[in-house]
Amino acid sequence: MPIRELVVTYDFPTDLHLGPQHPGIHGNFAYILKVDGEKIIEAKIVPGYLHRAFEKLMERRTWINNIALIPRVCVPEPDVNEYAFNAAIERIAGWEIPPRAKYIRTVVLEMARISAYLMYLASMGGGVGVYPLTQWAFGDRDYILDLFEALTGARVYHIYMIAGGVRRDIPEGWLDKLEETLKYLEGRLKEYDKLVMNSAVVQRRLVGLAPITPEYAMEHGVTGPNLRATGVPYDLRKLDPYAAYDELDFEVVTEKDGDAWARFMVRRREIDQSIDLLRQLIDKLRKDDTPHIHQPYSGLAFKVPQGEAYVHIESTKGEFGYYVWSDGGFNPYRVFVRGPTTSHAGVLMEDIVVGQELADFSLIDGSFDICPPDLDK
Amino acid sequence: MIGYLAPLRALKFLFIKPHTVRVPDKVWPRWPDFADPREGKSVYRGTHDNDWTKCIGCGNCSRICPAMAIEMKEVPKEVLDEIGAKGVNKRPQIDYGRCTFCALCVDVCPSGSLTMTDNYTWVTTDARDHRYFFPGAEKWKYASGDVHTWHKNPQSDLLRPKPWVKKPPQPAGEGK
Amino acid sequence: MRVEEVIKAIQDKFGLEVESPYPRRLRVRIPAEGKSEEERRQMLRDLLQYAKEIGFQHMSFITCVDFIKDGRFELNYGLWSYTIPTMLVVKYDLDRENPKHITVVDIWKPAKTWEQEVHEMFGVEFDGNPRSFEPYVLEDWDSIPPLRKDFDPVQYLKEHPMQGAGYDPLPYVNLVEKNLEQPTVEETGGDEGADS
Repeated sequence: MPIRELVVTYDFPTDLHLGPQHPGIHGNFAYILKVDGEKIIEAKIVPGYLHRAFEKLMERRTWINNIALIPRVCVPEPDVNEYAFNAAIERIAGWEIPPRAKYIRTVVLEMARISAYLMYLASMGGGVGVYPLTQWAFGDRDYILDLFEALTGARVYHIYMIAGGVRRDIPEGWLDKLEETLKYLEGRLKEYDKLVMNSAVVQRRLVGLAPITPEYAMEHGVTGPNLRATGVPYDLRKLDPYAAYDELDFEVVTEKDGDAWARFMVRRREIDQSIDLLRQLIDKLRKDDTPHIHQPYSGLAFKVPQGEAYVHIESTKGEFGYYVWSDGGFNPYRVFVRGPTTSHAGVLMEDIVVGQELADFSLIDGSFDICPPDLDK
Repeated sequence: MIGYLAPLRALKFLFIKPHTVRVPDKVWPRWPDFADPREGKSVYRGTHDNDWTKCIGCGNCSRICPAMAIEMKEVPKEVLDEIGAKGVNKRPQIDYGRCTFCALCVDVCPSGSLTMTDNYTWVTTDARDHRYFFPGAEKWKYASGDVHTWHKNPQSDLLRPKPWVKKPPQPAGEGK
Repeated sequence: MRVEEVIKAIQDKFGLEVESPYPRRLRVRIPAEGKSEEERRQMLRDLLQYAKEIGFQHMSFITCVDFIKDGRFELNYGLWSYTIPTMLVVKYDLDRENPKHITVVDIWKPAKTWEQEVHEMFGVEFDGNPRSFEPYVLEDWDSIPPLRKDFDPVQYLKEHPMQGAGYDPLPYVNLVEKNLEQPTVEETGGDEGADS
C-alpha cells in the first residue's frame, strides 16, 4: 500500500471527541469540540456515562434506606448529599435538631470540603505538570479519610448523617486527633504554597486563563468558589446559613480576577478557612453536652408528613441542592438533585472555551472543578 | 523567588520517610489467614459477623437492607439446637456483590447478634462466592476472629426512639 | 429590596399570592383556572423576567414533578437572589396528557440544560429551545420518559435483559418487588414502640 494513502489529511474545522477516557477530563464525561487547528470554535457536552437513575431509585426506597444511596451522587464530596437530603426531611417534618448534631454535621461537612479541595489541588497539579502537588495532596487527603474512618466507620461514603442527627457520637479522643491532623495540614499547606506560588510554570499557565466577570458568571449559573473568584462575596454558608454556620465566625474568601489562578487561590485559601472553622467547632463540641440525634421515630421505616422543601448548601463545586416532595408515605414522592455541574458544564464550559487553545482545555475544565456525577445523577 | 527552578525545592522530600504503609512481604501467598495490612479503626464497617447463638432469625436486617442484599436462609434445626440457639431457624445470608456496608442491618438488629468487623480484605477463588456470605456459619469461621468494630450500642440503636426536647433557655449559666 | 417588598411587588403586579413556607423561601403558583394557555405562558415569562430585574440573578434549577393522580405535571423554576437573599420557586402546572410548554432560555441561559433534562425525564416539550429535544444522559431510550410515575423499572428490566454484565439481575426482581411493599405499622414498631 502506498504510504500516501495512510496519511490522513484533515479538513479544518474538524470534530474532536475528548473523553470519556482522557486524563484531562475529570470523571466519566466527554466533550465534542470543533477545532480549527489548535483553536476551539465550538464545544458540546456528552453526558450520560455515569447515569445511575438516582432520582428514580430514591422514589422506590424508604426514607431511611435512601441514606445509603445518596452519598454516591457526588463522589469527591459525598457528605453534602447526606446533609441536604436529611435537612430537607427535617424541614418537612418540622424537627429541631440538637446543637451537638449540628456541630458534628458541620465538622463532617468542613472535613469533606478540605478533602475535596485537596483533590482539586491534586488535579490542578496534574494539569499544570507539578506532579509533587498531585501526590502530596492525595497523600494528605488520606489523613482526612483516616479521621472519617474513625468517626463514621467508612472512608469515602460515610453514610453517617441520618434524619434527625448523626448515627453515632464522636468517639473518645477523636477531637484531639482532629486537632493534630489540622496542625499537620497547616504545616503541609505551607510547603504547597512554596511549591506552587513560586513556580513560574504554574503562574504562566494559570494567570489570565479563561477569566470571567461576576455578571457573566451569574448569567451562566456559576456558583460556589468559581463565583467567589470573580470578587463577589456570595457564599451560601453566609447568605442562607445551615447546620451550625450561623454560630461560626468567618469571612467569605474572594479573589478579584476571575481567572484560573483566582479560582485556584480561592480554593487554596478556603482550606485555611475550613481549618479555622474546624477549630471553632472543636471548642464548641467540647463545651456541648446535648445528644447527637433527635430521633422521634423507631424501627425499620418512618413516615414523613406531606410537604416539600428545598435545601441547598455550599459544596466545593457550587450550589448543591435537594428538592424533596413527600406525600406522607414511607418513600419520598420525588427527589430532585440540583448539582452545580449541570450549569457549569452544560452552560458555562460550552461558552467559555470558545476561542481558547486546545492545550488549555483540560486546565479550564479542571479549574472550574467540573464534576460529572452530579450532572448524570 | 518566583522562577522555573523554584519547584526543585520539593526534592528535599526525597529524604523524608514516606507516609504510605508498607504491606508485609508475607501477606500475599496465603489465604485465608492473609494477615492485616492495616488495622481498621474502632468503628470500622467491614465484613459482617453474626453470633448464631444470639440471633433470633427475625429478619429485620433483610427488611431494612437498602441494597436488598440480605436473604434469610433456612438452617437445619439440629445445628441450632446443638449450639443452643433460640428463635426461628433462619439466618441472614449476605450478597457482597450488592452490600453497601452501610451497617443499617446492624443498627436494627434487636438481639445485637449481627456486627461488623475490621476485616476489609477478602480473596476468593470462586467469583460466585460473594453471593453467599453466611456470617457466623462454619464456612466463614475465620471472620469471627476479627475485631467487632461497628456493633449496635444504645447510641446507634434505630429501634429505640431518642427524642430530644429543647430545654427552655435558662436565665443564667445555661446555654449561650 | 427586602423580602416583604418582593412579596408585595409580585402581588401588585401580577395579582399572585406569594407564600413563604420557610425562612428565605418564597413560592408562587401561576393559577391554572380562568386563563388560556397562552396567557398563562405569557404570565410565567413576564414573572421570570420581572424577577430577574428585581434582583433574582441566579437560576438555580428547573424541575418537574409528576402528580399522576391529578393528571398534571408541575414545573418548578428556582430563582435565587444573592442580595435579598431568598429563593423564589415559581410553580406552573401542565396538562399531563399534552405536555407542551415554552422555553425561557432567552431569559435564563442555564435553562438550556435544565429544560433538556426535564424533556428527557418527563417528556415535556419546550418550544423554542432546540437543544432540549436532543438526548441528554440516556442513550437510545425506547420507552416512556423514565421519571414519570407510570414508568415501571421492573417491567423495563424484564423487557430489556441486561447484557454483558455477567450478572443476571432478574432473580432480584422478585426481591425488589417484595421490598417495595410498604412496611406495616407493626413492622416499623409503631409510633412509640421501643422493642429492643
